[in-house]
Amino acid sequence: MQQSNAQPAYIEKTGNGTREDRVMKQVFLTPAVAVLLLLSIFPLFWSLGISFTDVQRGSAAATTTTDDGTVVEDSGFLGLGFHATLRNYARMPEDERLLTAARNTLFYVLAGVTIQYIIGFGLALVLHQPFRGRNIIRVIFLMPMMMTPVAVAYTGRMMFDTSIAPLAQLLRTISHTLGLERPLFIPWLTDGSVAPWTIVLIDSWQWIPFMTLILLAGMQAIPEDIYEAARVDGASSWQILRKITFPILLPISATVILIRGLEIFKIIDVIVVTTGGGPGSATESLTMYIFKTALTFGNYGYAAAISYILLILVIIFATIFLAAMRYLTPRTSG
Amino acid sequence: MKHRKWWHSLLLYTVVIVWSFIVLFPFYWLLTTSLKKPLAVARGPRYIPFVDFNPTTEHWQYLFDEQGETTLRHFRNSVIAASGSTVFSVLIGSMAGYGLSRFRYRWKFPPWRNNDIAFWIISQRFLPPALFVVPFLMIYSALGLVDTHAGLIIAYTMFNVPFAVWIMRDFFDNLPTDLEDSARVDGATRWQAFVRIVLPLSAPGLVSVAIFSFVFSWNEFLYALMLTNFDAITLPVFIAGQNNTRGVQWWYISALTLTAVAPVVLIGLLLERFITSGLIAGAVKG
Amino acid sequence: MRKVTVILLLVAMLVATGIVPATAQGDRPFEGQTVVVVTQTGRAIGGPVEDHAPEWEEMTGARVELQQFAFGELFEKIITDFETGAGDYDMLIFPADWAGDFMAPGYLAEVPQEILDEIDIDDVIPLYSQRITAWGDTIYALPYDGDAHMLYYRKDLINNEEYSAEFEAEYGYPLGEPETWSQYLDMAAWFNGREVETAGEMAPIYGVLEAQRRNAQSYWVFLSHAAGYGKIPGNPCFFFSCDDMTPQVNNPGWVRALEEYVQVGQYGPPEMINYDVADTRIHFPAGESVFNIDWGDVGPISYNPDASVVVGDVGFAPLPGGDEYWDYEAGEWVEGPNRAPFIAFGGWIIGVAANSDVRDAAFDFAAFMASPEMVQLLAVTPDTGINPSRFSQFENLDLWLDAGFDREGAEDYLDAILNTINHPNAVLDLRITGSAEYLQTLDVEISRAVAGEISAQEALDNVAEQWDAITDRLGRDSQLEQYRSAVGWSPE
Repeated sequence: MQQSNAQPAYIEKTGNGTREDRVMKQVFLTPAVAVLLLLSIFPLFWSLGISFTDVQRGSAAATTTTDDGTVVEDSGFLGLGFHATLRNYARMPEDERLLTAARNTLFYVLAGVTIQYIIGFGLALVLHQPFRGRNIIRVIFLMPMMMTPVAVAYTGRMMFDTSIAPLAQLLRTISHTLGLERPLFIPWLTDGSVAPWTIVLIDSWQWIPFMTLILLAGMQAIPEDIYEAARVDGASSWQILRKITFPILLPISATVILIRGLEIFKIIDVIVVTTGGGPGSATESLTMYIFKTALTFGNYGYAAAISYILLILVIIFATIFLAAMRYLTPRTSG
Repeated sequence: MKHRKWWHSLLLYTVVIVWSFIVLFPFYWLLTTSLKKPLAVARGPRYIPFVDFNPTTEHWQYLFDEQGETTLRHFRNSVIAASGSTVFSVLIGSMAGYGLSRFRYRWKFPPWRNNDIAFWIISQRFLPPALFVVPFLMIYSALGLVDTHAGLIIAYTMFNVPFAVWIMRDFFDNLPTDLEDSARVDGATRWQAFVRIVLPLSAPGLVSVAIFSFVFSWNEFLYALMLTNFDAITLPVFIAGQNNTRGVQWWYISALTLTAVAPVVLIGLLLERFITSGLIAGAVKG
Repeated sequence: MRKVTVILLLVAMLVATGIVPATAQGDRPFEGQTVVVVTQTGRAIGGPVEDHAPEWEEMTGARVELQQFAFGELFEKIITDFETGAGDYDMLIFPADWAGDFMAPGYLAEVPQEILDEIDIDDVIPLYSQRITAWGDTIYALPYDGDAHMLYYRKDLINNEEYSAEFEAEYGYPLGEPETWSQYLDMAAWFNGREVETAGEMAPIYGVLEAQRRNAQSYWVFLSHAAGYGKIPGNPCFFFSCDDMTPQVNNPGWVRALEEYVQVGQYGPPEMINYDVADTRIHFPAGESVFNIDWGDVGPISYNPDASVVVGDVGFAPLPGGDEYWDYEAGEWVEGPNRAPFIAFGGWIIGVAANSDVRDAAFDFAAFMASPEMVQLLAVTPDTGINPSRFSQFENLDLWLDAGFDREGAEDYLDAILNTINHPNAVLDLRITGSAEYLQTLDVEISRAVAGEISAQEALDNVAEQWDAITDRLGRDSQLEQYRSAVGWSPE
């Protein structure tokens, strides 16, 4: 991420090296570091370890059959004493459900950030001018963002119902007015090729305002004289957008896309409520599959292994964007 | 920019109105649906109370009267989990943010300085929670933390701290050091200066952090689903549990959904400026 | 001083109002105890607890707290609670086929003999009183619900002579209670989209309503199709071969069943892929289709004038059979007809957690809910999810007549159920360790086939492969042993 340009005023420079400061320095930072070490880093490595075992539900009395057919009694504490195996990773390429879930997750991320960025940018562009009621609109924009995604999903399911929703009635009315032979009917959540899009739409309803707010803030930070100069040179609105606004906003754009993308990687709530992963396996996400594998199937080892696949995807995605940001930043911040 | 072309204004207001409609209509629909009798829901869309359907408050009564204890239990659990983790996140986050802003750290292993440490902290925020499903399940059951408020508070604190550190560090970076310096000259200890001078001055930042922590914890689903069975079930899990069998009882779901989102949406309405500034600090400066 | 007085007063008020109820009576044995009951969301199964708990609370002084989860999450919740030792739940109302996961590891308390006596266990049909509530020789649960899939049809349409003649001209045989799935499909196809009279109005009707929603209770409907084509008469081993635990799920009989389960999608409403039984139970009594497959619940609902426009027009029958079946031992199709009613699910049963600290209260409440009077009342009440499981319910026709059934309908309904559960070729649900996992795997794959993602053969091949993996993971020998004893098969 971009480093802040203003150098912080380290007190240490002035009141350097008193004993109290040497102690307090650690006191301030240690709790946060300790929390993350204990609750994030430690579980992370543990999980990696578990992914190489076949720990499963009822682990205290589990037995493992090794490849040569002998049965080993395992009595590991929380999986630590278990037999190491590559079985979990070996199974992956053939696990169709896993591949589908990975594909779906990537689809949500790519389609989600694209739609949200384009519409969010457009809205920000339109709203980037003084008008009456601007403060109210900001408040309205915040409302969906504050909702729990579970509630958003229920609302979405109600909106996209094919018989009792206003949207369905609208479609019926339109087809009736146009005199269409077959009335317009969109199986929002019941068709495997439509349902993933509907889920992206529901997520977008909630998060487009986020994109808009941030990009709007970015636009407002652009000094007015740059625009003035361009206008004096006779640049059209389109040229100003293409040559000035868009490039200046690139680093911020990359950041919001990164943030949203990483958030969408975690999607589960909307899917659980709207489709339960169906129809077929058309909407199941990796997080949902991990949850099912661990909680329903009690197959902890495999769930841990899949979660590492998710982590790898997230890291690839983040690396690409961090690289992009680093590449884009110097050109615009000077 | 004093004189806008007329079609600019037209476009502007069209967009504002259309988008406001898209955002607000679902809320309107939730509200009216919660007031409809089942038949008014089943017989296709009805839009305006008293005009095309007769409103009833029976679903609200069911939710808060007959089912009142159940509803309030989940509501209380959400409040406890969210406030608990908010307190810890604000405390831990502002301390670390202050440390990173005011002191110079040079770690030996890994060889990191302030910016690296800050980046490491914020990067934890973006780890997929699914990664922790298995280890948390095992650790929590070993420690007896499953289905306890403490368990949820600990998990949410872990997710909130990175963002809190990030925002608070940014806030302290922009806070002049003069006042704390003079307090120190007057004999205050570092900790006293932090608590008595710095924190009060940072109220806007703290409020931002508190809102974000609260809203995140209030809305969180995966951990609540995984780590609670009865005593600590929060609202999102309760609502999601109405799926399938109650999926057709939209009137009830609507009332419940409104109940769950009302507190956070109200926070949003009242404290909008803190949220926007926090978001911008998080994204633009990040 | 004053402060102290105020505090004392407050404490006194608290004690008076809340903590120590003034009404403590000696004859209320469980005064002050709280029994946490967990089951699925909604009126069915959970509703009766909600409605009748106050009576028991009044009698015993205990409190009942009901915790409900969507069916798709119920198993996870209970098993996590057991696994992690959280110990939140005292009494569980759960599907009998999870026995392997709950009873085998000892999570449930053995039912004391006096509780069994209290609910007059001898009145309960042995299938429900002994098989589905026990693991090995020990009884771990109380019978509550009798469950078997059956066929519902609109007898006003199927018995209509005009339609019958027209149908016969096309298919060469008259309309009637379908004996085989092929007949069922023929009739569904013939009626689908036809304008017929329902509750005095002419409207197009759908052929069938079958639950097809994923992550719900639909896969049992598919298994009902599969039983007719995959069950070998005289061989109880249906899901797996009892020789070596080879999954039979992808044999030609099962594949044909899945193809037909996919095919019925054409004869139902477009949303049917998202319907669970909770939905079809609303739409079938609303007169939307000719056929419906469900547990016994639809019987009372169809006689409830508030929910049904087809009161008295619904016929009841055991499930159709296969016109042929696949004999996997011989590896060939055998001419049928082969009726193999599916005792889907086996019913909801009531267990008490072994680690419950209010075990006596929990058993007392369980016995209250499972008492003959309660079960008789619930079975005739619409939307309770409770179906007949006791001899008294089949013998005492008045129960049903009082609830609004007509005599013919009641006899027809009870006959259909009795013929199903007493059928020599009936199929019992899968009841071994990991059955929830086996069935969820099946759920996902058939849902993919229904959605048109993959073919029936591919879907079931996937299931077979995953079933093998599950079996290997859980231990093939122990699984085989469990399966053999679950279906009552022994070598020779």
